[in-house]
Amino acid sequence: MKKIVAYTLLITMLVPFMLSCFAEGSSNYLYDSNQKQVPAPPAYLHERTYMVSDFAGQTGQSGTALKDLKSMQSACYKNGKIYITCTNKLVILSEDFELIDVIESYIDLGGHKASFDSNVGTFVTDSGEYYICEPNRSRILHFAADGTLLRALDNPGITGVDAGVKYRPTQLAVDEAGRMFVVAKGMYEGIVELDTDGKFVGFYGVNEVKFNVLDLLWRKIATSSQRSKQSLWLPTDFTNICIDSDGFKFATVQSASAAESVMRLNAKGQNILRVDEDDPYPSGDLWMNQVTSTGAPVGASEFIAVDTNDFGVYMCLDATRNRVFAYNEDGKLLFIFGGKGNRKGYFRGPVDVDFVGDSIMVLDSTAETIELFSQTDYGIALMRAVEAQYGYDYLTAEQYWREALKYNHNLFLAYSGIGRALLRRGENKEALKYLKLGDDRKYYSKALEKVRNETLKQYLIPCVLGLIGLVVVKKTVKHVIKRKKEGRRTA
Amino acid sequence: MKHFLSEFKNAFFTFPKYILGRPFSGFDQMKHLKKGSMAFCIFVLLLSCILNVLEYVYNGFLINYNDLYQVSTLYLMLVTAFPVFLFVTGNWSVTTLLNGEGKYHEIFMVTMYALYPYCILRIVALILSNVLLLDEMAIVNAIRGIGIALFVFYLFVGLVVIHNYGFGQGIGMVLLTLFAILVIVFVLMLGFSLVADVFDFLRTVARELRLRL
Repeated sequence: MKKIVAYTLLITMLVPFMLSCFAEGSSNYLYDSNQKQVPAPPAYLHERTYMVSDFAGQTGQSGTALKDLKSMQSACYKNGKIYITCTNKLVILSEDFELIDVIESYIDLGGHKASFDSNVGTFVTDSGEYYICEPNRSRILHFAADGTLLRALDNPGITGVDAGVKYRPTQLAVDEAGRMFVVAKGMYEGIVELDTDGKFVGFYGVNEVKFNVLDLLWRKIATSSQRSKQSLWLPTDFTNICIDSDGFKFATVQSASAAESVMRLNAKGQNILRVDEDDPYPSGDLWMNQVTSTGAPVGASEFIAVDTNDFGVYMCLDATRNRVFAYNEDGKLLFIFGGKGNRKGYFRGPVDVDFVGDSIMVLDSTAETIELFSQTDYGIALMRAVEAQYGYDYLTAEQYWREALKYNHNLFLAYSGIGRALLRRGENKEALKYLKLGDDRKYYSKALEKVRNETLKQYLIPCVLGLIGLVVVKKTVKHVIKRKKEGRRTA
Repeated sequence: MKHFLSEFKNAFFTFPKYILGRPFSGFDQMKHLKKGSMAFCIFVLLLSCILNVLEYVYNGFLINYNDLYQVSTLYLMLVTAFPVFLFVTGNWSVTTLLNGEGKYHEIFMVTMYALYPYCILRIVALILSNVLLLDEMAIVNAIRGIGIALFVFYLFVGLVVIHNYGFGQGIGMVLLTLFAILVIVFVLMLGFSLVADVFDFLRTVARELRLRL
């Protein structure tokens, strides 16, 4: 009796722990091919929260200590250093989150000491030079790696815009040649492209205004006074931009109505983001509340930040539900984490998301914290598989996909990855099975072609021979019967 | 036995084939010489009900986007059978008022005889969809398209013949039938919502009583 009681107690005590291994992490789901939510294990788990107090006692190279992390705006990770802009300063941290420097002032081109005013976006080049956007002063500051100001790029002489529109650069990306791609607030024409000297080249990746027939009809019917009260039809605003390892620009658009809220732009400014025909466009949550009585967020995801890594994975930060969505180069959803809230792994006011090596960093501007997420075993397998597949190393990918499958049976990508590897190895029938599970119709068709040809090779010749034989036998039998009948008649 | 077999052969193969080849005279014989077989018509209806389920589940993976974890056989069968009766009822109610000579069961039989080539093509397409590649799926779609075209053609011819209409009258009848279907659907919806309201009312009364007692 005592034993039973003891065991029952033990089990009831263990239950919370058993539950917690499911509850750990945030937003543990993925979307299946029917756009339904399916549970998924966390690929990234919250590892640490960095607050100002974590940097207490450390001083930067210039001797300044970090007083606060108020109003963080954006971050950039380059060459093992993390650059974080706050409205009035630039914080440089090492990969291990040790304070390297806090820059609150600089010597301007006239030789005077100046302080930052309204920093928003930052970009760091491979050589360590960094750019900072100051929208309130309508300029971009270009610093050398050692912190001396090289250029202050004022309004580049944008043409084709209303004279009353102030140039307010907020985010930028600089390509290898030194051309700048600037996202400016209220600049509906598109991303501002500047040449290496900071001269205006043109608008890049222009958003088109889209409207449907019904809207147009209403607009036709409405009187002019009604029309003046309707909202203007404006193209959507870009929110963020970054450059991937191939030199293409990833840009996000914040608009509930935008069909393409994240774009991969080529040199001509065309969206070349790869999405399978059958798949929905990468746009965060596919299932969402449209109305709420509980105060839960409603409507589509709105992306405010984007970052990519070396093997084509890009992740977007959704401002509606504070979630991070990561996709592979084919636009397939890899993992989701984050959410609105005060708990560990949730955010209150995230502004930027960045890959820091294998980890992911999210700036929470409201909580004034830097949240660091690290890969779980599942996440490691998943990312390695994606990396191997990006490099066309299907056999290594298969190994990692199989490992990822152990954690997540709902991972369609793993099934299709294994299927593709099997197809490459020539195990076509087995490949068919996996490709079907992975909902990969393109490769299923390829595998089916091979299986079909094999079957045809195997059975076609016997079948044709058999058919010919059958016809011959039938003809002979007929002939023989005819002969016999004739024979009878003549007899 | 032999008599039954020849009857069966006539009802299920010879006469349907004859209608396929010579629709005008075929439907005419169906009406006036009572050559059609009700058993065959019910068979076609059941076949198309079952085909709808089979297509949902066994359509080739390459063109099958259905969620196989959510399949309701009864729903899929009703979805096939209900429109048939809706159409037949709609057509009958219109043509009765407009001097159509066709009877209710004749309209049903015409519909079924028109449907069976489509059924056969659906079986062919169903099998092909499992062996064809993604690029070749156009063949499957073409076969289904041809089937629908045939269905519409035979249905129109059959209806015109059994009601003894001309071409123009036939077109008018089709349009009016569509309108009648809309009216029937509207009345049905109205009826259902009213019945639901009545039940709701009864349930509320019952709940009130239970709370009081």
